[in-house]
Amino acid sequence: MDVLERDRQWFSDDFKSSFMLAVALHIFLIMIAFITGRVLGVVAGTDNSAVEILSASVRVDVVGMPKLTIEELRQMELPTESPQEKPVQAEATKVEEAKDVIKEGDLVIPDETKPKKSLSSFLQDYSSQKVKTAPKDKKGEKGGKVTGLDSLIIEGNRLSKGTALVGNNSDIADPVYVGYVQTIPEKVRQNWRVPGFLKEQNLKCKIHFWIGPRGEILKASIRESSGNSEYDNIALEAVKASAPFAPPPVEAAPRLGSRGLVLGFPLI
Amino acid sequence: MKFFALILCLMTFSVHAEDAPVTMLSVGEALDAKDQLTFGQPRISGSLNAAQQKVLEEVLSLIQNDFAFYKHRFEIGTTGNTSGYYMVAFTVSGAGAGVEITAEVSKAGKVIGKDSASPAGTKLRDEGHKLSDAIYRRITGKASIFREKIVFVSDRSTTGRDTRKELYIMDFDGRRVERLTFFNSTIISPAISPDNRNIIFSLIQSHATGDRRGKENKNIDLKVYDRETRKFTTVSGHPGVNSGAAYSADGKSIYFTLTTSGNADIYEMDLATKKLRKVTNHYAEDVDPTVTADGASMSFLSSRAGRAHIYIMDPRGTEKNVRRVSFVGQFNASPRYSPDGKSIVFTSWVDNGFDLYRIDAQGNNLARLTKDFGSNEEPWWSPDGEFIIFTSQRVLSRSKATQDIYIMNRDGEILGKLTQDFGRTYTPRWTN
Repeated sequence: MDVLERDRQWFSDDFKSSFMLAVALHIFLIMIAFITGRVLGVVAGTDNSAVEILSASVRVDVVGMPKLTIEELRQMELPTESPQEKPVQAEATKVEEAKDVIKEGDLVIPDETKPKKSLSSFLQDYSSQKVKTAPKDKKGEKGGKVTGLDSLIIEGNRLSKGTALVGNNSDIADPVYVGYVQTIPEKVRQNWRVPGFLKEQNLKCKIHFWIGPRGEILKASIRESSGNSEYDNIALEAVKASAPFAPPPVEAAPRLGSRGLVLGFPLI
Repeated sequence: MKFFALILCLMTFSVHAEDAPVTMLSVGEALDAKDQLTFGQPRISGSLNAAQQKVLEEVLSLIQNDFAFYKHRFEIGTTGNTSGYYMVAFTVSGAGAGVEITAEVSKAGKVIGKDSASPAGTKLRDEGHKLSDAIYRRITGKASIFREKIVFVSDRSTTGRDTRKELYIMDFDGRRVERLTFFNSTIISPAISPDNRNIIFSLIQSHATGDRRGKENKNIDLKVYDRETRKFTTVSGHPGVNSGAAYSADGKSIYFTLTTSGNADIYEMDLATKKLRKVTNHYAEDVDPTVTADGASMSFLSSRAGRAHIYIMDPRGTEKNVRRVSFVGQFNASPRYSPDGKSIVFTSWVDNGFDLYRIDAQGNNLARLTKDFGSNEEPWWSPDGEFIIFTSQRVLSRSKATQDIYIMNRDGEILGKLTQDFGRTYTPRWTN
């Protein structure tokens, strides 16, 4: 009896202490794993658990043939203040066109009088437009009332700001932050030029960068490589060349400085 | 207990560090960066006589003109500017009535290849385009359009009231036009075999009916012209329409429209055995096929939806995997598969004329290519898929109109006119 009691006592003590040790060790290990994971994740920039994807949802209903040509759409997307690259060289090319084949009169000269607008303002114009039926529209156009961009707009591809088809901005609380962040890709795209041979390979990369309070870039790195270093570098340089951005609003600045932004070239 | 408190403290700290997620955004499609290309001044060894000097000047301007077609790919520098990424240096020496010219292509200062040609006399343009093509291949690794030709139909030989539409062939840049046929009749929808040796076309022909009063029947027959032997053979002369032929990628069979059953359907014909196989089988009319290089897909025009729309299908079967591609447009016509099989260019009636549009084979990304540029029809892709040739009509008065062949790049930037005062032109086709 006595022996049994002692044994039980001994066992109980031993179990208690070793159990405590085991629990402590487990918690410690989990914590180490968690902390190192977080630290490594931030350093390597590959933590996908805390990522939100921002994309405006735009719905395109094809209800007729498009009225705008590709050239016209491109001109609209490029803002007027974008620097004209190498005008001297462009002139030189013109001179080289042989007179026997390409006649000056045959070239379509883009109408410079048409106002150039950015795609976002184009979308806004679109969404604010009332839907009219096609025949009525045509009469209105002939009346000469419609000018500039409006005359180019179609009963064709009708764009509207969608509600919740693909875009997912609804769960992002801070409208000031979202408003600022959405201006960034447009600015970077103007500096992103890819030569034909790279474009044909359909490459993809992601650049992570952090924006300081004055709109400067604190740090920029390749978050996901395309496998082609030339392509990665063009994207990285495009981000760097776009700085400084507009100074972020005070509410958005800390987040941009600590968490940064990830841009997908061309998509995320 | 202290230990636990420490752990809890650390845990809460790391949770706090997570505060907000990283925001990800898409940049969208990249802008095009053009390759910089500079042609250097020719270095002449020895001296050239006046005739040789003239040949040299002609060849150099031909090469510059050739590259001007690819202005969406290249930014061409002036001579003397050596900062170009790609640099072409010419070395020239006199050779008989012409010159021997060597073009050395270097990329960022490193020589990547050398090609030569000896243009002279009637071979001047052939040799010049050959050299241009060699330079283009060195830079891009792909074939250019510089050595291609364009086959087309023109009514310029029309006299009086009988319209005559005959077959012609010219260089890709519109030079050196040559007449191929003298039928004094009407030729429609030519196509060139993959080996470029044969041209297949439809001809409106009169057939004696055996009637005592000499009455004749008119029929649209399918004929082939052999560019080497310069002979014509009839491929298909079924009563009714035999037209709109397109070669299969191996050149062994053709796809074309037959109306023998009373309704236009697309058939495949084995050129060796003349055996027919029905490809479409629908009570609506199916016309105007083009087939992709792998032979797995065929585009065609069909009225099965009530009005003319573009469809694709697997031509290896009958009515196999038919899919509608276009859903809008009052009247769509002439669908043509791009050489890579990814997009289809077609013409569609808008307002008061036809304009050209491009659409993915899946039916997405409908894009307009021409606008305010007359009435544009009959598009055809260049073999490298970078250009589209088409006819454009300008109405001058109630009874007068011009219709010329134009060339534009695949995004609708018009580069120029290829025919001038050559009657009304129709159905331009590239060699392959």
